[in-house]
Amino acid sequence: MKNLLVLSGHGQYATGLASNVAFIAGEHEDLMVVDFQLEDTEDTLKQKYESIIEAHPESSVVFVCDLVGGTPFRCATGISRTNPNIEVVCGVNTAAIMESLFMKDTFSAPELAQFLIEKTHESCVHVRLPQKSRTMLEVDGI
Amino acid sequence: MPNILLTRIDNRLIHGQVATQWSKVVGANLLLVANDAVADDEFRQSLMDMAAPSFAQTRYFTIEKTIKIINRASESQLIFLICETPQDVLRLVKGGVPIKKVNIGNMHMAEGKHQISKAVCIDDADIQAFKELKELGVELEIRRVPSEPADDINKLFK
Repeated sequence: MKNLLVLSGHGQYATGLASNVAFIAGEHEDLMVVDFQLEDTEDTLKQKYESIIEAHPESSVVFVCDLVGGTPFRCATGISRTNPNIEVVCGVNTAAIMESLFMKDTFSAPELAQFLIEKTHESCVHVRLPQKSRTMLEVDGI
Repeated sequence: MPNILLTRIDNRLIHGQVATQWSKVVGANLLLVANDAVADDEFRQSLMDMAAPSFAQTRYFTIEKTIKIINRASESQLIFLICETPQDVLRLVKGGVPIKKVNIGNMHMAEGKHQISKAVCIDDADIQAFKELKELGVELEIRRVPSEPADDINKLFK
């Protein structure tokens, strides 16, 4: 089954994150955005989510929300209670989203959600310099 | 014969687009940055090592060293060669490095350059280098990221 990623958060988190990912990874049609704007209500946000889900009956949807407990998280989680093809993750970063674009359709939606979380953990680092340079593993070659 | 899968011109060398997109699409396990300044700059090397994907090793050689030792690459080294300028690529080709295809990614705007593509700006010296590369039988491609279509290469020559 095909997986859609729907980025959603307060303000322009979603469009900002999508533009950030597109700068590096190019445009991807399976990456969608829903901004939660000041003029939105919980109902209008939910409607936006539902219209995406209805427009893609063949796909599972993983919602990538900005914040645990926020309204986008609440609306997406509410929908996921009655729809088994919906997963919700929060706080996922650029590295994880980019990496998931390569292989997202090889996963089920729950696997994709787990992958996003793992890759976010791996790529969240405190930079300390100087870094030790990489070990040379090859014996022959250059 | 070294397995050079692709050569890219990118003034940022190993950065986001190269590390997360191209390395994977190309299927490289060795990112070789051929650049005289970086070969002597451990700080820039360490930052690029942090960007590089875990499945690939990195090397930072001068142009001259690259020419000298590229033929000692082992069969299992799948090389993604990364250069800053077309002039450097031309030096490699003239020095005997078997480069078949060059992907032109980022060449930033600078005094005297004009923009020919979203991320590519060139001047007369670049045009000359691209013409020579073409005459030497090197395939050229303007493409910023793998998922976007290639731009018209004829823009490189005028």
